[in-house]
Amino acid sequence: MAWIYLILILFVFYFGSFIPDNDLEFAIAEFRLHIPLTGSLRLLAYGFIAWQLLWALTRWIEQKTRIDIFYLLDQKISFLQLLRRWLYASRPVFSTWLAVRLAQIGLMLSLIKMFGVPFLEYLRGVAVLELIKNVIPMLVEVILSRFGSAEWIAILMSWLSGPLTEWLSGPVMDSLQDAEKILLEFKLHYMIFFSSFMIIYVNKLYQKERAERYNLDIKRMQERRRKQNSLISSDILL
Amino acid sequence: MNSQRAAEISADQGFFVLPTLVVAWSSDESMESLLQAVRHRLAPLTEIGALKCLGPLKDPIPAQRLAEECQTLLSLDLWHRLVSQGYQPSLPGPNSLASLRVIFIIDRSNVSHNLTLDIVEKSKKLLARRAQLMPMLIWLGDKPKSDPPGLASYWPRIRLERMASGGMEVPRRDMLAAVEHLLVALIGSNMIQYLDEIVNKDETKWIIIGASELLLDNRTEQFVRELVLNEILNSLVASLDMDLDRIERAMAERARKLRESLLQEASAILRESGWDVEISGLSIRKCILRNLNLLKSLFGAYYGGIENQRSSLLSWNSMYRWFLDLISALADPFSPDPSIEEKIYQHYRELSEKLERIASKILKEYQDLRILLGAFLDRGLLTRIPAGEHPHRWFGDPPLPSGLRAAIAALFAFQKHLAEEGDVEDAREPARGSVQPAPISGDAYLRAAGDVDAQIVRESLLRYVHFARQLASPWGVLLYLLPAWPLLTFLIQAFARWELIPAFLVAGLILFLIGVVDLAYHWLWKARRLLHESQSRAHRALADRVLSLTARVIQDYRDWMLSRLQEDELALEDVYIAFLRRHVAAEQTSRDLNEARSQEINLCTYSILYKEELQRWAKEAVEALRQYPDWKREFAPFENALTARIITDVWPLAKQPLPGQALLKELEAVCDRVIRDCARPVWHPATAVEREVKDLQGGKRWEWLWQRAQPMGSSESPGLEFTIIITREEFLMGSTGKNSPYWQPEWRFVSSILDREEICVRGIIEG
Repeated sequence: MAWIYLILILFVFYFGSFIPDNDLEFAIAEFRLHIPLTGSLRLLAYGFIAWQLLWALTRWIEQKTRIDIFYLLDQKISFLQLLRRWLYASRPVFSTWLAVRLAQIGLMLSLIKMFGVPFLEYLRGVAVLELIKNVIPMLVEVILSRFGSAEWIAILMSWLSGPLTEWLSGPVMDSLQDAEKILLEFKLHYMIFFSSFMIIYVNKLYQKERAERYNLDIKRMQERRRKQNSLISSDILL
Repeated sequence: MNSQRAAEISADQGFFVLPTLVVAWSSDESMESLLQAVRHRLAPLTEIGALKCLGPLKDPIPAQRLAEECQTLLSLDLWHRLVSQGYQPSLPGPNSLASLRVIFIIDRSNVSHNLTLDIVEKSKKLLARRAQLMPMLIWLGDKPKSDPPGLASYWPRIRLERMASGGMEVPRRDMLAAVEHLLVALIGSNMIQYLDEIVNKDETKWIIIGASELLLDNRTEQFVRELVLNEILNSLVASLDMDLDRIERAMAERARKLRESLLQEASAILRESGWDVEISGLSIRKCILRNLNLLKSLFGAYYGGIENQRSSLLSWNSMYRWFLDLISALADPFSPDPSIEEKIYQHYRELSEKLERIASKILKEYQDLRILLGAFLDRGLLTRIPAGEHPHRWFGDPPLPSGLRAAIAALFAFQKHLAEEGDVEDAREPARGSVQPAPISGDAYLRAAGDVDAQIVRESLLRYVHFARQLASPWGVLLYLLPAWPLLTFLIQAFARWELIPAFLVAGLILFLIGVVDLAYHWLWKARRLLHESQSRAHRALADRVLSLTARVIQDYRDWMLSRLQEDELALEDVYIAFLRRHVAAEQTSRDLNEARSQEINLCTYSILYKEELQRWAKEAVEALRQYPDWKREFAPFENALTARIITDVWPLAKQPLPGQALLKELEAVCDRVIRDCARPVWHPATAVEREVKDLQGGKRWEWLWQRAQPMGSSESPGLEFTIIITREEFLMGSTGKNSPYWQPEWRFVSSILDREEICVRGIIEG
């Protein structure tokens, strides 16, 4: 049921425009405080809670009533053979893991987008500048105090204070700036993070559910057989 | 033939040959060989039992015993035979007694005591009402000083002394030879009647006799027999020191043909049982089950793993049906019901029963092979062997050697090539190891095989069932792919910056294609292949079993044939060894014949060897033996009767072979019979002498006979002298007969039943 509820939630959330998905903004006087990612996280929270509720409720009902819903479904819509041809089927392999692989890609992209811009900002504003101003001169001093007048020292010194510093302050800084710009311009739908996370999470629970259902099925079958055997043996005894 | 000849003589001259008892009373052992020679020379009489010899006896025979011995000659059967052979004109009349002749040979050379001859009188009394005894006396030795009592009862009383007329001494050996000739003349001719005519019994006491003879060599029959055997056996025991390779090649080809024909027969039976079998030589190219009932029970409606059904997919309709069968077989894996064990067992049992039909095939092959190998002994057979066998080229140019050695070598080579390699070579694709014959047979084995193979079929099909259980349906794949649809849409939007709707549709299309390709790959490619593999594996178990059963049956019959052939080889070798030894002996005798010639063997006997006639006789006998009807009867195609005999009785199909020695004895017996019955020549010393002995040609033989028949004894009162020539009348004609200058007019001719000797008896009557 985990997978079916996932499909349901995804499509409800995708088409459902009534679900609030924008980031939180606080207006203090004229200053508007925008908190990024809160829209996606809110969506995720709604979806997750909705799915969890549905799934847990179904499992609880099934447990209580000792009814396997797939048996009922198979009886009602037998041509689908949901139990045999979907739940227990492990082939074709590619189809089963396509959604999960896509979700992994989506999640990775979302995370890059989320944490990529602050990280690049930090590199450009702090790390590279610190490297040019403090780390390289300190490194030069240390080398000189350790190795004195060695011939290769002069070459290294000239390279450290010359081409390296120039390369860091020029091309590297430009590249970082470009990357930050690209990342800022790269539009990623807010649903991607939600879908990806849900697919990965639900898949894990779905596999567990499959195993449980399978084991339960076997147990049920064994019980049925045991009952039959005991009936036969009692017949013989009678 | 003898009887016919005798009848002719009897009609012309009227013989009065009586049953005769010869009693020799002598202490000389050589008398026995004399009596034996007489018996041999008078074989026609000996054979019908009209001649009996007693002795040599050292003591006088009691009258009682003589009477008993005489009684054995008083058989009505014997008299009937005498009449039918023409030796007597008729049976004794109702008022007359049967006559018996008793010839007493009394050798007085080494006996000194007195002698009484009254035994005849006593015997006559004992046989008074049954027979009329006609006693004769041949007295060897000097004239007794006084007549022994009872001498008058004997007629004629013949005397032969060591001292011949003229005072010359006669060696005892020659005297005995003369006695032998005399006995033959007395018993086998009308000489007694002639004596009765010319001699006055009352005035005659003794007749002093001398006898000489021209006779055909007594080894004649033996020489002919050896010549015949030499000729008959010569080709059979021919040595074999070359061409073995060619025999081997020819027999290898024949053995291969036999194995191929067995396999062809087996494949025909397999086809009959619903297997599509294709063979090429000893290889099985294809062995596929086509029995629809069994196929449906084992594999359901679809069995694409067993055979390629593409050839039947000619129309859209059939393709559609095939596709539906395939899909249903893939989606709903077939599980055989529990009765397949029984069905497979029944199939194997029916097949095994049908395969037993190979027995008749192998029997026919065995028969053909016997005839084919017979061609090594009998080249005349070749024209009669069916064209399909084509052995002519084996015996073409240069021909394969013939004879028993060649037949044995061929048989050995055939066994060698028949025994080599497996029965069937499994050449089906993919290449696999050869089929091993099953070690056991019988119903229990077939049942066990049915159970095992049914289990293999089940297990193989179960492999697919396990695989197919894990396969998702299109709905299942759709359910798996659905969550990826929005995700893929947003990803496309992010990278391609498309509008939502096109991105959504493209994502849906991509996922649909992925689902279709994935499904098609797994269902139509992987699952179908596995189903085919499972079916093929199950089918291979069945095919292997069927081929094993076939191989076992072929192997059984091949072993049967090999064991038969081994026995045959031993039997032929036994025959070969017996024939070879006999051939060596026959060759020796043939060499002896080359050295032998006509010669005087004693004073009064000239033995004549008519070599030219002997060769002709032998040739005729060989021809008669080759056509001997009793032997040819069973195996008419053989030209040579002996080959037919070897093939049928020495090399039998369902009984113990005849040992070589037994066959040899039979061959010798048949040879004797053929020589005696079929090719006995009409020849006589008279004709032989003219061809063989120059000294006696042109009638000179009369002179020789007369001179050598010098009467043996001297008389105080010599009376009439007479000369009797005992021969056949036709040899008295012409210039070498009575018209010869050597013939004396006073000589008398007496006919005899003997056709191989000419005797001259001279006598002086002593008063």
